[in-house]
Amino acid sequence: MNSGNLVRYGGQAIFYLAFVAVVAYLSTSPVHTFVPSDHARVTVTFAHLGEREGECRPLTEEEKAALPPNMRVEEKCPRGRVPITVEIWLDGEMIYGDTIAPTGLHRDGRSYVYHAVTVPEGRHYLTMKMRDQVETDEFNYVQKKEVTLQGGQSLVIDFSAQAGGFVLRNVDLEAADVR
Amino acid sequence: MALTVRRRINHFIQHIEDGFTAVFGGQNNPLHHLGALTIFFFWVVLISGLYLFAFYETSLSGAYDSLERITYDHWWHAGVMRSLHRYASDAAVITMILHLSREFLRDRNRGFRWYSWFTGVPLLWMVYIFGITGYWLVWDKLAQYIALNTAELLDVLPVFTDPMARNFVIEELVSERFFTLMAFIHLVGLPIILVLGLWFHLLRIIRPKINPPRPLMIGTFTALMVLSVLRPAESQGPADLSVVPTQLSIDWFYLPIYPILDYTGPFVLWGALIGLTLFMASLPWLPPQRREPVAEVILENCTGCTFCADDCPYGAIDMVTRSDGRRFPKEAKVNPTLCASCGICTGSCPSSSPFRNASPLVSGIEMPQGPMEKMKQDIDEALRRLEGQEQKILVVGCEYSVDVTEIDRPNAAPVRLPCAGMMPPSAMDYALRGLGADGVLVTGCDCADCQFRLGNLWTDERIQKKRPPYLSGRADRARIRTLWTKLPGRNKVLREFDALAEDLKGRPAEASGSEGVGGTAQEADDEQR
Ligand code: HEM
Ligand code: SF4
Ligand code: SF4
Repeated sequence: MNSGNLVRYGGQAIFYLAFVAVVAYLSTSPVHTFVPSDHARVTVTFAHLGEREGECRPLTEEEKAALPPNMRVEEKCPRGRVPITVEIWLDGEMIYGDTIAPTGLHRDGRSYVYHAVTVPEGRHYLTMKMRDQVETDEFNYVQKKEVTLQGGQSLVIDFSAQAGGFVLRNVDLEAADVR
Repeated sequence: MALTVRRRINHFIQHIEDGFTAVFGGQNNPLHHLGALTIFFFWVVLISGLYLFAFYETSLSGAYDSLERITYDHWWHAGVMRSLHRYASDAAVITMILHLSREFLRDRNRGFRWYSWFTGVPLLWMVYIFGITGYWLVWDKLAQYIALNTAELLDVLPVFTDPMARNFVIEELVSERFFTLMAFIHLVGLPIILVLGLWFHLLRIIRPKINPPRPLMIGTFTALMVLSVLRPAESQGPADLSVVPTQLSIDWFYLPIYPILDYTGPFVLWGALIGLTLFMASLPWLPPQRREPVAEVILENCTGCTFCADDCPYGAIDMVTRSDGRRFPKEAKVNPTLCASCGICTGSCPSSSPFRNASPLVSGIEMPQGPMEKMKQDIDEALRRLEGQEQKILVVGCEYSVDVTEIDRPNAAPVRLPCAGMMPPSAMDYALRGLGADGVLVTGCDCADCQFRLGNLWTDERIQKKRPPYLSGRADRARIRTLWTKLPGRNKVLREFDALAEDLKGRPAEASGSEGVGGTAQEADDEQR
C-alpha cells in the first residue's frame, strides 16, 4: 500500500470510527438525573367539582309563566361552580397552594389540579387542605398524614369526595399515620 | 455583517471539508451527500423497523417483554435489527443537522431557495416526533419519563382541560388507547407524513441526490452494523408508575428537550421551540437576497432543442408550444420564480457558440447580467492581454470556488463566470481554435458539490461528449482540463495549471483556422445532432 492509499483508507476508517463513536456515546450519555436517587416525587393531582356558586331560589310566578309549560320548574339554580382552594404543606412548608377556577365556558366544569415537587427521602408530615364552598373562609377538608418516602418513590395526592377527602397513592398505607 | 460572518465561517469550514475530499475524493465526500445520507439512514430505519414489528407486541403490558425477547433471546437477528433501528435513526439526525447547517453556511437558503429551506423546517418536527414516539413504544423507564414529561408539556397548552400528566403517575389510569395512538403515529402516521414532507422538500430540485454513492452506503452501513453488534440497544427496566425514574440514559439526538424541560419548565421550552421554528422558517429572508436577473429566452435564436430544459438544475425551464410560427415545434420558457440565475442554460444552448458570425453574439437563452457577447469579449480580452506570451491558457472559474483572477501566472487568461456550467463547450473550442489559446482550464466547485448542483458535472460530460452540447470533434481534447475544488483550493488550481502548461509545451497552438468559424444558430445546433 502506498502512502496515498494509506492516508485515504486510514482516514476513512478514522471517519467511520468517529462517526459511530459519536452515535454510540450521545445515544445514551451523559446520563440525566430526573429525580436524584435520594429524593421522591410528590404529585398533587385530581379533578374536583366545586359547589354551586350560589343558593337555588324558588322561581317567582312571573318567571314560571315565562317558561314553556313542559319546562316549568320550581327552582332556579346558578350554573357556575366556585373555584377550589388547595394547600399542601410538607413539614410546615407549603409545597403547593392555589385557587383553581372551574373549567368550561359557563364555569360549570371541574377544577383540575396538577403539580409535582421533588422532596428528600425520609419521614414527612403532610397537611392537606381544600375548600370548595362559597360561604366559608375555612378549609372544609383538612387532613394530616405522616409518610415515609423512599428515594424514587412517586407519591400521588389524589382527592375523592366519595372517599371522604384526600387519598394518598403509591404509598404504604400502614405508614401513612393519620394524626 | 451577519453575512460576512457567515462567509468567514464557510471559508474556514471549507478547509475542513477539503480534508474530507483528500480522504474520500470529492465524488464520495460524505459532506457532499448529507441529504442523501439522511434518506439512506431512513431506509435502514424503515427496513429494520418492519423487521422489528414482526416480533413487537403493541400493548402496554406486552411491549416491554417483547423487546426484551428481541434483545436477548433473538439478539443475533432481531436484536441487531433493534440496534440498527436506533443507531441509524441517530445517524440520520447527525446528517440532517449537518445538512441544514451546511446549506445555511453556503448561503443556499435565501432567494429562490427559500422553498427548499422552508419545507425543510417541518421535516425537523416530523423527525423529532418520530424519534420521541419510538422511544415511547419501549414502555420502559425512559418511556415513562418521556410520557410524563410530554404530558406535562402538552398540558400547558390551552387545548386540553384535564391534565394528561395525571394518567402517567397513577398506574390504573394509564391508557391502552393512548399507547396505541402513539404506536399508530410512529408505525403508520409518521412514515407516510415524512415521505410526503420529503416529496415537498425535493419538489423544486431536479435530479435530487436521493442515494449516496455506493462506497458511502457500504461504509456507513458497515459501521452501524459493527456498532449494533458490539453495543446492542437496550431498554432501561420496565415502566412502573409508582416509582419515578431517577437516573436515565438519554438519547441526546432525539430527546434533548426533556432535560431542558426539567431545568426550565414548559413555558420556556415552548417559547424556545416556537421561537426557534419561526426563526428557522424566516432565515430565507434574513436578509432578503438581492434578486439577480433571471435567464431570458431570445426566441429568434431558440430552436427548441430542449438542452437547456434538460440541464437546468432547478427545473426552471419548460418547453412550450412554439409561439412565433417558426418550423420548430417547441420553444424554451423560463419560470422566473424557480430560476437561480446560474447561467447553466446559456452553457447548454447550441446558439451560444462564439463561432457564429452574429454580431453581437446573442444566444437562445441569456443571462441579462452577463450575456454571451460579454463572455466572448471577456475571453477575447483576457487572451489579448497575453499577446506576446509564449503560451496562453484560458482559465475559467466560478464565483463560489477559487477566484481565478488571482491566479498569478503570466500565461494565464482568467475569465470568471457565475457557474462553470455557463461556459459552453463551443467557447472552449473558440478559445483554442478561434483565438489560438494553447489550453483551457475550467475550474469550479468540488465534485458533487456545485453551488448550483450540477454545473461541474454537466461541464465534464459536455467535454467528454456524454451530454449535449458536445465539445466539437475538431477541438483538441488534450488541451482542455477541468479541476473541481473548494474555496481554499488555490494551490490545487496552480498545480493543475502548471501541469497543463508543462504538458502543452512543445504542442504549438492551433492556428486560428477559419474552418468551423462562422455559421448560424441553426448550423450550430445541427452540429450537435
Ligand atoms: C429529513 C431530513 C432531510 C432530508 C432527508 C433532506 C434531503 C435533502 C436532499 C436529498 C436534498 C437535495 C440535494 C441535492 O440533490 O442537491 C436537499 C436539499 C435541500 N435541503 Fe434538505 N433534507 C432534510 C432536511 C432539511 C432541513 C431541516 C433543511 C433546513 C431547514 C433543509 C434544507 C435544504 C435546502 C436549502 C436544500 C436545497 C439545496 C439547493 O438548492 O441546492 N433540508 N435536502
Ligand atoms: S439560469 Fe440556471 S436556474 Fe435559471 S433557467 Fe438557467 S439553468 Fe435554470
Ligand atoms: S438550449 Fe437554446 S435552443 Fe435549445 S431550447 Fe434552450 S434556448 Fe432554445
